[in-house]
Parts: sequence; structure tokens; C-alpha cells
Amino acid sequence: MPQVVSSPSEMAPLATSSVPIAFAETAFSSGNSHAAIDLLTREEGALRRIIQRYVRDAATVDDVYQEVSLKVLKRIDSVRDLAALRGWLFQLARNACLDYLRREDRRQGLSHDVLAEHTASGDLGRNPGEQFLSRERVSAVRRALDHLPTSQREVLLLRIDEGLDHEAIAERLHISRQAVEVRLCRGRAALKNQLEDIMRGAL
Amino acid sequence: MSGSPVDHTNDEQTSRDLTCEEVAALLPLVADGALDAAADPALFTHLARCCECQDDLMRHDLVTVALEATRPATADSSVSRQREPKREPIRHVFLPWPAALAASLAAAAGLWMWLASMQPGRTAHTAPATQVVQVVGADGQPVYVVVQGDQVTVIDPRAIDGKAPANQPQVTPVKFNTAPAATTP
Repeated sequence: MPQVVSSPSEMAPLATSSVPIAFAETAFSSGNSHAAIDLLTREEGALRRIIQRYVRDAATVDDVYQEVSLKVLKRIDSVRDLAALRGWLFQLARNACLDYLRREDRRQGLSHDVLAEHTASGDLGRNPGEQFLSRERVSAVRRALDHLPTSQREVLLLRIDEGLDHEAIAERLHISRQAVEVRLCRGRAALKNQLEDIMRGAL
Repeated sequence: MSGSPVDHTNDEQTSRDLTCEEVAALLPLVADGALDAAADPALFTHLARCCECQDDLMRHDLVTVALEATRPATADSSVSRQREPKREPIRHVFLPWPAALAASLAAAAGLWMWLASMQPGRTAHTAPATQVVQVVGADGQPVYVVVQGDQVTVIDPRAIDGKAPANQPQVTPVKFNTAPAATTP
């Protein structure tokens, strides 16, 4: 297990702030607002733990949690399968974290200054995402992509760089959609293993 | 990572619990955006309560973020071309369209009149004269009036540039029998 990735025991204590009920009732006035608030009250701890995997800074965790809360309030009407409620909440929280990391990436521009500052101080960032998102480490993942087998690399390049969906990639490469997905899975798994090495300091 | 289903005594029961190995095999597709909670509720229910699988998915997600962050500039534009809805290109026209249109109409009318005058038994006065006048519209903005015979067309230059209010027609044909107030130079 990579040392830098937080485990549940390493995580910061859960914030004790309650669901922003006044805000919620203002933003969401339908009959389901109380159900949503009950859900958020019950699941706040779990949601914060999910967010803390991506974002360790307490203030940022609060910000992302607020985003997730608002989405729950707005979209709870769309939930049809109560058994899948926790999976739906997990997806909302993860998507909010990814949005945050992408925004941060664009804001910081992966600047050399940020990298130099982190490297000099030994501080690799405030959270797993930020500490990872230094130029050298990000570039190392791209280099790892260059070393993948051609069949896996070309599928990943079409997916990430060209933005093609699986069907379009299959057409472009004259292979089946299943073959595309197999290559994607293998390529991504290999890159994740490389990432774990990078995060262990084997850059 | 364990090979057994996650214990969730107080959780909602799903049709079948996935093992962490089964989930691990699907995580690349989750990171890829091909699987979501609607497509595979059991997978996301497992993820919601399994810390190890959440860690695993987080690392897959960081790979995605890293690859997106190092996307070549040319690929960036290619991706944005594919993901953004198609927009009409913004036209920057420096030649005043109404003037160009009026000039074309005048030239065509002149040529037609000249050809008509060359035919025996025909006289030039049978050809309707084309005249273009610029007048101030009701809202104080200039509009062009093209007169050809008893056919009058009002052209709002802002409409041609796409700047006119949406409820105004681009071209307003009007028929009347009065002569125009002025002619083009």
C-alpha cells in the first residue's frame, strides 16, 4: 500500500458541523428536502471520509462536502432505487473530488514554482491529489504511458487525448468494442501500478 | 485487499455482493467513465463501503487526472472540438454587407437594362431602376432601402451581422409606389 495514500485511521477527525439546514431549505423547497437532510445527516461521516481520500485539507473537504450536499438536495428526486442510495452518494462525492482536482490543476497550471516549493520543503502537497499533481510526477505517468505496449497505448491516447468513446475507438482501430475495453483496462491497470511506484518515491 | 464480500450487517442488501477482486477488475472502467452508479449499482454499493477499493479507485482516478493534465495542446483542442457543442463560427465582416448587396443589385440591374436597350424594339425605360438609400430607422440605427421598380426591400445591417433583435426580420420587403427620398452616390 503506498505510504502517501491515507488510510481510514490516518484521516483527520470528522468535522462536527451539521448539515447546512437553513441553506438547504432555502435552496431546495420541495417535499423531499427533509429526506435529503436526513440522508446527509446520516451519511455525512461516510461522505467526508470519501472526500478525504482525494482532498486532505480540512477547509477544502468542507467546501467539497458543501458541493456534494447541494447536489444531493437538488437531485434526490432522481433516485429510484433506495438500495443503491449509498452508491449514488459515493459517485456524487467522487465526482465532486475529481472536479476539484481538475480545477486545481488548471488553476495552478502545474507550475514549476509550486513544484520547487514542494520539493524544497519536503512537503509534497496538502492532499493526495495535490502532492501527486506536481509536474515531474504527472510527467512520469505520461512517460509510463509511452512505455505501454502499442495496442494499449494507442487505445489510451485515443480515449484521453482525442476524447473518443469506446465505439469510436473500435471503429478507428478496426477492432471490437470488447477488445477496446480489454486494452483500456490492461493499460490503465499498468499505469496505476506505475503510479503506485511513483508515489512510493521510485520516480 | 480481501477476496470476500465486505461485511455490511446494517447496510441495504443488494442482489449479490461483489468481491474486492471482482471490483478491482472493473475499476479501470469506472475511472474511464464507462461505468457509473446507474450502470452498475452493485459495484458502487460495494465501493461506498469498502475503504480498500476506494483507495484503489482513487489511484486510478489520479492516473486519469495526470494524463489529462499532460494532454498535448493539439489534443486539447481536438478533445474540446469533440466534447463541446458545435457553435456557429463568428463572422467578422468588415465590408458592409448592405453596401455590397446594393452594389451587386445595382450592377445586375444596370447590366439587365443595358442588354434590354440593345434589343431592337425594346427601350431602356421598361427596365426597373434600382436605387439604394440609407435611412435612419425607428430606433435611430441606419437601415438600407433597396428600391427596384415598385419593390422595396428594407435591410437592417445588424441583422446581417447577427446583432439585430431576434424578433426583427432580417429582410423586410415592402411594396409601395412612392419614389425614394434620395439615391446612392
